Amino acid sequence: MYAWRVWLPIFVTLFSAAAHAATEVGTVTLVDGSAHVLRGATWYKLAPGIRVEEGDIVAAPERAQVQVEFAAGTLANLGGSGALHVALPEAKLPLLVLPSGWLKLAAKPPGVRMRTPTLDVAVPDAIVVVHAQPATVELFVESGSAKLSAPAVPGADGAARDAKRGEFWTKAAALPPAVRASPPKAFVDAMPRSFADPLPVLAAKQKGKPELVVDHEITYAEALPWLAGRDRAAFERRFAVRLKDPAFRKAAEPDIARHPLWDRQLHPEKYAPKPVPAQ
Amino acid sequence: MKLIWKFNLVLLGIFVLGFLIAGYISYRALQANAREEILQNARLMMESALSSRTYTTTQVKPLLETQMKYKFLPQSVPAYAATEQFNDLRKKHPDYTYKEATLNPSNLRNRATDWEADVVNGFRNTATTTETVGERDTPSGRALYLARPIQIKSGACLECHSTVDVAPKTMVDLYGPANGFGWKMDEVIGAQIVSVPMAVPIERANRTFTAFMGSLALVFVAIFVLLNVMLYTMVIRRVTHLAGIADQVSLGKMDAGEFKTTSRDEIGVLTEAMGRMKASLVQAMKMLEG
Repeated sequence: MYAWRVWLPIFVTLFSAAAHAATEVGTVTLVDGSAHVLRGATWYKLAPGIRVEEGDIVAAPERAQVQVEFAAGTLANLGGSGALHVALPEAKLPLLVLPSGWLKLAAKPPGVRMRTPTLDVAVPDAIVVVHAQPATVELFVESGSAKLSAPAVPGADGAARDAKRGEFWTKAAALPPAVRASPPKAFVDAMPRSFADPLPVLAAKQKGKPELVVDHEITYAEALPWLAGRDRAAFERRFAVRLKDPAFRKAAEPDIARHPLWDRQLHPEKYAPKPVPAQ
Repeated sequence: MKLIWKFNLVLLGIFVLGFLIAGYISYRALQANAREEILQNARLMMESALSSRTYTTTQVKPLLETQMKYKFLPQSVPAYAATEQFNDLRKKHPDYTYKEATLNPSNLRNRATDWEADVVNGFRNTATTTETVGERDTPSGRALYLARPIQIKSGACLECHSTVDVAPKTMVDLYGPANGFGWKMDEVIGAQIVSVPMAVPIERANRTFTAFMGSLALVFVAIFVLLNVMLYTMVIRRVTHLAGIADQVSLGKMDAGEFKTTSRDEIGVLTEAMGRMKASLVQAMKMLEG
């Protein structure tokens, strides 16, 4: 139902060492199209006014739009897939993860960090438009400035670069970042039309707090992209509750070797200490 | 020459002179009114273009500022907005034109032609000139043009038209780096020129003139005929009758006729006097014979 390539997911995960109670980090203020939020391992239907909690994953299909407004005034608008990830409490800035799709981010101080497949971005007080694909990321700094760096992988050039207003950056997986003075026509033409306008501030108009309506439990196919990402261990722990579902377990079984936590849970016998042979 | 011919000659002379004078005055007045009407139309269109520019600057451009970072939108340019609005009008009224003729424009469609460049240079050479009106021949006929200078008075203009480095990159991508730069504050860089066809108002003035002169001629003819009829019936015929009787009496024919009248006007008084004169003459003749 939610094939990865047509999803525009946004997820919020909070790894709190001090408290396990979910904290509200923002509000969904705009939903255009059919969007859902994954809280825990359950999908709920998304509607304006719903509070986004740490750990939530917001997803929307093609040509949909979802906007989340955060407490500090930062706006994140998905015209494609995007992810909002609040990092560990000891980290200073919230973290947004965008595995694929289009995201327009209007960050206010203290700013946000963003993680894409090939580029990490620190946005203190700027407006950026990002188009993330599995092997390439494009970023345009509409206003303000940002700092770009490649993901911390062995052999990668991790030096931070300043991205100034008006600059258009491209980062392919195996290549260094490239910059040009303005975005190309292809980028502008492909960009969601609404990104060309300022993001609307709608939080003040949200009066009610709608209740979440359950849609369905996450399937293995829906979970797979998160299980294959940089935070796979965290998501293994998060989705482990779904192993109680025979259908989920059956779907995961062929790939169980990729999920050691689940493998240990489903097949404890593999990990039992081997008896010491008698002397 | 008979009295009526003398009268008609004088009357005809007066009518012809009056006709010519009235024709000259009315023609000049109608032509002036037509030209004024054309000029007012041109001024109205010029003001409409200026309003369009102001609306674009104050209301449209601010809304497009973010979009302009991605793609240059000529709709944000006041000159473009005014020209496009006028072009829409031209679909129904193709003889009307509006152009922001510029010596060094970004959009080459605004580049001034030869005569437009002369107008612009006229403004550049004479700083106090705020408006120029002229006429020129066009393929569709004679046209009146109204021109006002375009002078750089705001720094906002120089954001796009000073140097290539300062101009929005999206604008340079669209129009290129070769045109529309180097403008300076207070410089007259072009002219707003509205052209309005003269044919219709002039033709209307000519038709009005023809109708007026035709009516005047008819009135003159009618007056001429009526005066002749009146002159004949009220003066000439009666005088001729009096003269005929007087002539007979002068030849001794006392029975030629009576000087009778019921009118109390001057001819009637003359008739009565001549009657009394005849009676006196008859009595005198009788006394002489008696």
